[in-house]
Amino acid sequence: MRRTWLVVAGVPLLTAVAGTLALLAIRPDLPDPVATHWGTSGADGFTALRWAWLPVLLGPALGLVLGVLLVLVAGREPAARRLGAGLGAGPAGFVTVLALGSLWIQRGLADARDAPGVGTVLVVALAVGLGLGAGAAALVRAAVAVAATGPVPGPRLDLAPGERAVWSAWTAAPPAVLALAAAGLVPTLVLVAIGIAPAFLLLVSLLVGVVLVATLAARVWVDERGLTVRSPLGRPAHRVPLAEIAAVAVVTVDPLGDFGGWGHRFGRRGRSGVVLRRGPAVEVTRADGRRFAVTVDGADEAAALLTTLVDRDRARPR
Amino acid sequence: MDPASPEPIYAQIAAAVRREVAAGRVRPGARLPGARELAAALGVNLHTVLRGYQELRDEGVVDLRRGRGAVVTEAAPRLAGPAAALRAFVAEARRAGLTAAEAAAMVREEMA
Repeated sequence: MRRTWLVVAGVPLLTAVAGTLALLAIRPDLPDPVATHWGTSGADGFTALRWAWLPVLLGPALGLVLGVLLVLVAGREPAARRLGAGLGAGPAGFVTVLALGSLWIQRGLADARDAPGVGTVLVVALAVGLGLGAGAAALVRAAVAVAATGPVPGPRLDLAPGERAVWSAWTAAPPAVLALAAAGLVPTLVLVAIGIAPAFLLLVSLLVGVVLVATLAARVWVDERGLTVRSPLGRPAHRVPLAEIAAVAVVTVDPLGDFGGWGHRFGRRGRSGVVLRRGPAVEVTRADGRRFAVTVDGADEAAALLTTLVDRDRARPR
Repeated sequence: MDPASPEPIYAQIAAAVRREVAAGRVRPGARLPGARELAAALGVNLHTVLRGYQELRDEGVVDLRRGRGAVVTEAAPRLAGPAAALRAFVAEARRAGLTAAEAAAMVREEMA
């Protein structure tokens, strides 16, 4: 846990320090006021130079808050800690590079209105942000698989000794939730269609659409590999192998109340899950107490098969 | 599915699907898991699953579509039970040496 805090707090802070030093270095060469906003026809928004430090520190500050909050709330789940580290570092890096970069291109200018376009800066900032985020996340220790022991309580299915069985179902968010999610894309599409917003925003909408498709539906498998929940696009996917399952239960889940929303989520107290609708869910508890749940119809049957398979796996000579 | 059973695996898979459809647990329009995924889950060869799916397609229980995989047809609930019995009947007929025409004639007689 100490390493997590080190990364979550350290990376944004380091970014802030680096950003401030860089800003101090180039400050003498900058015009006053500086360009701080670009439209389709070049620089069109200007601010007094003395406020230039604000965005350079705002990015890291935002990252720090995001990362710390996430780790505080869901830090029990290692995946949440990685996400917290990434969310701390990524925006910090992105905003700082964006702010510094947009000032960098104005070095030596007498008048900020001559500032060149920020396209390149934007791309570089994105790359740095993603890289920093991924790097920070990688620094945080991933989950360690712990083998569970002992029998698993719960109802079972009758399986003949050599018989193999699998259970599979498709689960998706209810139409109302899907519609709500899709509705978020509409404003962007409208704005691009009537020409106010630049066309490249369609790329953003596309990306968001892809993410929605990937996270609001899933195929659930119960078989010899354990409990697997896979997105229609392949990733994200979660698997809990039979060997790690200490308990299987059918629980009632409320995505909004228990997990703060729909999709692949972290909940309170070390819970994680793919929760797409209110109702029955298969929940497995790992040996270290972490719980993973997936909302799916037929949870009773799935849980019974899973318990049976775990039993079988435990009985297998090692 | 029992790999030790004399019944070929692809036939067991098809039979399992027919059972679920006949019982109403799988409804028309439902998409069966992708053949590759099911093969991985069961630990069998992809072609084994495909053969099972093809048998179901030939019976009219599922439709095999590119990109969507095996989709349960509208007629499936009505067809699933008879299709399962059909397998047994055809196996018997073959064992007795009946030709396709003779077997078909028996069915027509019985259904008249």
